[in-house]
Amino acid sequence: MVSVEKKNTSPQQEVLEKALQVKGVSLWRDAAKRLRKNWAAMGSLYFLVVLALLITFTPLLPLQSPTELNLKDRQYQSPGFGAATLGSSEDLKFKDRSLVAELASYDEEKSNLVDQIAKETDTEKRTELELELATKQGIGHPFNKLWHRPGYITKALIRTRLLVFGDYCIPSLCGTDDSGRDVLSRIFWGGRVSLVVGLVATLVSLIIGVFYGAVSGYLGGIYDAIMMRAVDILYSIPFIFVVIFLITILTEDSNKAFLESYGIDKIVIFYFAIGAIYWLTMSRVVRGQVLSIKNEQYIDAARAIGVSTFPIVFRHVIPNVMGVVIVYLTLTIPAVMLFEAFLSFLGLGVSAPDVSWGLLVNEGVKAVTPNKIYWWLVLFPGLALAGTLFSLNFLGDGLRDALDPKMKNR
Amino acid sequence: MQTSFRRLFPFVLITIWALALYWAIGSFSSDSKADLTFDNNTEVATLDPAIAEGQPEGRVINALFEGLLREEPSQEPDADGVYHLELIPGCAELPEVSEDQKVYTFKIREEAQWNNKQPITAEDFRWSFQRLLHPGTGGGYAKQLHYIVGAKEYNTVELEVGSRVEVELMDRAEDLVVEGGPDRLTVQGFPRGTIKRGIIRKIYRPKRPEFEKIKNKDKRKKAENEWETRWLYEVEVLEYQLNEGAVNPYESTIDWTSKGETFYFTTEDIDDIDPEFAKSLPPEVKEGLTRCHHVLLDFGEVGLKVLGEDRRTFEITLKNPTPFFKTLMSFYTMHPVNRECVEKYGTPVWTKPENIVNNGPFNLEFRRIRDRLRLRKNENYWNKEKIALETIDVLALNSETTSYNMFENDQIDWATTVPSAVIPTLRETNNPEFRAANQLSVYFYRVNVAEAPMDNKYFRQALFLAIDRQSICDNITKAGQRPTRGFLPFGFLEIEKLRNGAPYMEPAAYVQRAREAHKGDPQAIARADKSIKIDENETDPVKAARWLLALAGYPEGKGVPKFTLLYNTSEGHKNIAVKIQDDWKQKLGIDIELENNEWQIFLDKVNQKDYQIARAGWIADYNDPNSFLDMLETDGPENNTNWSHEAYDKAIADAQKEPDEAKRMEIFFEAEKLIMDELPFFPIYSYVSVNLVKERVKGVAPNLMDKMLLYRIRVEK
Amino acid sequence: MIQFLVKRFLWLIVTLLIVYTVSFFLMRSVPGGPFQGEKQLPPTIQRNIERRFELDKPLSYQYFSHLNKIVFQFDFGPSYRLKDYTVNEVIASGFPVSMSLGVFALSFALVLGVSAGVVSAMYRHSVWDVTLMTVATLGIAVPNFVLASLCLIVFVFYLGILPAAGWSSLESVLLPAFCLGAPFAAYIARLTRTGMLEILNQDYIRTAYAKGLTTYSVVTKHALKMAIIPVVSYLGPATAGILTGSLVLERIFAIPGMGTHFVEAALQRDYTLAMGMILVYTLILSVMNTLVDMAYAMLDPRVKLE
Repeated sequence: MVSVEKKNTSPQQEVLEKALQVKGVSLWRDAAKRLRKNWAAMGSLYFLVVLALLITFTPLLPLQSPTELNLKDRQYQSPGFGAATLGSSEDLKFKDRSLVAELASYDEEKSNLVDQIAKETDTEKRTELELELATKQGIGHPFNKLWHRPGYITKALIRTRLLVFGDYCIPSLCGTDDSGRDVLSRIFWGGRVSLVVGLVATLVSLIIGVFYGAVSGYLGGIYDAIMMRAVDILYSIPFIFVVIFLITILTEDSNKAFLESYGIDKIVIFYFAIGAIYWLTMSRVVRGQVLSIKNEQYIDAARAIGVSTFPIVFRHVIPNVMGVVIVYLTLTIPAVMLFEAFLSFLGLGVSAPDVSWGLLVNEGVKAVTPNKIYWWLVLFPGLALAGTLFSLNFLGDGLRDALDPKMKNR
Repeated sequence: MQTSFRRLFPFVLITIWALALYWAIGSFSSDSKADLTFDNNTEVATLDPAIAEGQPEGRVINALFEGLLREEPSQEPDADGVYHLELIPGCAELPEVSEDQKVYTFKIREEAQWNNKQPITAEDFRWSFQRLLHPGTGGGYAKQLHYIVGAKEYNTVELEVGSRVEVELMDRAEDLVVEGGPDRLTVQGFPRGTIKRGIIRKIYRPKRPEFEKIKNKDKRKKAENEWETRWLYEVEVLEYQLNEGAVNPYESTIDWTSKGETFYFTTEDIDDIDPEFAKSLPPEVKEGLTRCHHVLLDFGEVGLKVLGEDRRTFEITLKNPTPFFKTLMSFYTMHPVNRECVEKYGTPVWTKPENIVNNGPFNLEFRRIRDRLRLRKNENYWNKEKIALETIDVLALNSETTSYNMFENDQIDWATTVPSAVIPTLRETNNPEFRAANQLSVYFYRVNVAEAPMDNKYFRQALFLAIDRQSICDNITKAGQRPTRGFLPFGFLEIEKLRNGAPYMEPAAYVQRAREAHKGDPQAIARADKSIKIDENETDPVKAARWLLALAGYPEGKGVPKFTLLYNTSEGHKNIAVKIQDDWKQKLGIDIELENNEWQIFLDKVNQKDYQIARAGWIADYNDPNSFLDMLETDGPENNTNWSHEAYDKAIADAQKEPDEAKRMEIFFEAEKLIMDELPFFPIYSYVSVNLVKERVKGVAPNLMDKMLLYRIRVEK
Repeated sequence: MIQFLVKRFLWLIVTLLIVYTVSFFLMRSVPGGPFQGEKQLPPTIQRNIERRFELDKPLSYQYFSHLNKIVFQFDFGPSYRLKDYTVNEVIASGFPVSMSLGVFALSFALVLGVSAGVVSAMYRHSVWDVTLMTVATLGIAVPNFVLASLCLIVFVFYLGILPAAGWSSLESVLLPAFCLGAPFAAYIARLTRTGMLEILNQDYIRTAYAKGLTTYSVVTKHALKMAIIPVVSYLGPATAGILTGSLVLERIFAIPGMGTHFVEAALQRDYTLAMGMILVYTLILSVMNTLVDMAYAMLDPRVKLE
């Protein structure tokens, strides 16, 4: 219709049409544009993406076993290029001293067993065979000797890796530790734990903090006063102590058994304990933001059409404070990872043979003595940890600059 | 006004900061450097000999106090490079021992005196021993005096009708304060009220709760004990006449056959008595009930006697000949404390540097918590010519790495721990500062034998044989530790002689014994043989382990229930646990969980027997196999494995009664065989004590008990 | 002002009460009693010890009795593990040490942080700026125990100019204070830089320059005073961070401060000591927050205390 009557348009219509042609620049697009100009933040972003990919697909990489002990001749080896293959250790008693060969024979034995079970008619013998099969698949599996309880996905990834790289491993570029384990491989496997702790704990703090802050800010008045007072009180509690306590209490046997019946293990407790500290700041930040936007017109509009409180909070308020939240998030993850390292230092971290970067760094620090400095044990895990924290900090700064309009033209 | 203050405020802030900084700079005390500074590893929990337990405490208490005897390392090592310990006179000369080896007579030397110049007498020892044995003191090592007649009954309150008892009335100074109550800190359980003596005529007991229902043994014991404290005693109190100049109620004449007045005593608050129990009591009991602190065996019945006009003769009577009793008299728990000082200040205030009265070669100058304490030569020590150093600083660093750093940086002269990471280099370079010596101490694992699969002896044997103990010593501990030959560590010469060539621990021997035991069950043997073929003289422990595992019903590790290995948080324990986990996984196909706990929680779990396999270590308290072997007595306080064996209990009891040394060792040797067959403990290695000592420090002789006597140490300038 | 202080004080009491209650019951729920030794005591003796520490009484009695002593006699009771000491004595010995370490660390943080921030802002985008800010970001990213071990290698083992650990002289405080203050210095540097940049763009600074003042007097007299406000408000969290952060450093450098006692108390189940420590920490944190709020109001006329 517009095109037909184009010739005789009124001035108002002309303005309207022009306005329609201007492509709106959303806050996010704008921010993305600004972020792209910040080379440090972008570099960090790429680094983090690559790191995340590598760590997710660690089983695919041709790394040595992170848990295989080699006490006899590989303790404290400095970084080198000596070749290594999987399953070559004599103690393992693998066929042809090769994981590939051992896996093949394992698969064969397993399928034989499966056939036998299918043919077997005597129930007693059948259960015996089934038990044998279960043992074989559990402890008898060659992967279980080189990795600590790999899950199904991990096993599948390792199989793929064996198809691609065979028994080949990257040499011990970062040296070996006191039990002769490859440090490079431990850094990668430890990274999985560290990053997951960082992410999940932050997520926990995010959920509690955003919800609490948003509700408090939105309700305002007496609710706000009480809720924020509670946060103030919690703020003045030395939380490190509380976390040390929570972890010691909850990992105690009777509590542990109870929690495990709900599928909660130590690492989950870890997430919640750490998440439980960091939500405080998050809730304050969110509350501040909510207070400033709750009188915006679109909120009034929503309220006018009869939307009740919680949908307003979730649908309108929270999405609009996401910018600040994301910035804060990128700054919380490194803080959490540091905290995990700190707990590892006190001996409250993940338990052996699992590793995290904090634990690796701590082991390294212990190996620094005037007698002999096993520098690779501190340097490489330290670099991994510091590099990641460094990038997250840079990215957080960049995001803040990009999302904060005040900083727009600086 | 407001604005001007505001303008000044930044300057106020800066001033505050400057003041704070000034204070902080000035807060360092300027101590002079001590003649010798060493790291004692951890803060001493207490300086009270009766309560202290642990090696760090021992080092300091041995410097502050002196017992009847002393133990010193020999000057020369034996062929194995082991320094043995020899007994030398302390406050007393070496004792005269009666023919039946049950009565020891100590003569206290005349020069012996407290550091306030009061003379030391046998009465000081008698009082200190009574204090140690008194249940109110809470002495953890009081057990070491249980060899004395009546000591155990006094210590653990074992009473029956007819027992001669002493009763402490509620008339201590603090009992009489009504308002505010006594300061609990200075309250000591030790008697200061009036002592009544008499004979128990009757015991009134409340209804016995059904303890059998309580599953947990320790909780049951505790409940039983709680019940016992609610008993009421009908005591016939006898008059006694104190001798002239008596310093304790036992220096008196008492006619145990005379008639006395009847009293009814309770140690409980009378208002707290269960109403139903009260109802069941006869009226005269209800009326005449008196509350008291303690009803204990009369201490005059305990085999400790102070003799002589000058009270310098101390006679100790034992229940059985106990050959190591002399050694015990040099142990720090049995050091005397000064009665006047302890009673004046109370526990623990008397241990403060400004209050303490001691009799050892050194005095306590100051003490800073978790930092250091300083010892200074005691000018009033009877043998002060022997003391080489004027001052010694004892640090509590709590970290091996820090300790090592400070040693290398010349801040300390002697480190009592060495981080395992540096030991190999120290050994390789033959560093003269590194002193390692065989120690009477064993690293082992406790096995809770109550539950499957650990209740099966052959399963335990399989687990034990699969542990590559040599590799643990060679590659993890690396300080020269050796796998034990049995359960006992190296250092007991007689036992080593008896062991000579005995193939008891050989893998083949385990298999052979199992075959014999299963003669009636050829099926089981066949099952095991099917699993793995094994020679008669099999030397490979792994093969034997797999055979035994099959015999236990788990061929190739099939169907083994999940179990957990528990250790207390420490890098060294972790590495060993990981290695054992790996051994069992690779060699037996058994996948276990590892769990680490902080020391206190770990101890709690072990003591509650809430574990399956748990790491442990044991250091000899005295130089005798009994120090290790009495651990496994049925329900012994350090057994904690639920293991119980009649023949074993009998052997330990026999050994305590056996006066002939050679026969006693044979009994111990046979008992050790039982342990190695049954394996409620998996011995891993025999400890090595490691010390780092600067070369200028002389007189630190590494020895079996890692006992270092501070007064013997000299520092060359 | 007085109203503000009264209000804060009341909240402080509520906070302390909550902290007391929570930690009391948390600690009592943990397994592993404080008197669990390697040598098990006979039950008679165990009970006598428990009686001495009132542990034989019902939980509610213990709760109120302990509270009563703390409130009316300021007596935290005996330490369970350090058997020769009361909690008050332990705190009295640890507190000055930690305070002293904290003052040094905060001084390091402020001096290094503010000067780095000013330099960085004055010479924006120069090599100095980039270097300083990179170091600052690194400072935040490196855990302080790693920093401590690097410093040990360089200053103690390699250069040999500082003692490795201990708490006996002024030299011995330098390394731990530096390592403790470093992350805070880094953060302060960034705060100062941002603040300075913001202020340097303001009109009155331009006016000051137009009046012909030198850069030096503009920065010290006008800009720094305003730019430092965010730093002051950061002092509260920084003090808290330094106090709790000293936990690790006190362990590495064997410093007999609150942190050392705190960790040991928690790990050894020293109920009374742990409780005393946590209450004192809470008190310090609250007081610091109040002081910082007041300082903030003093420095910035726009802020009202409520």
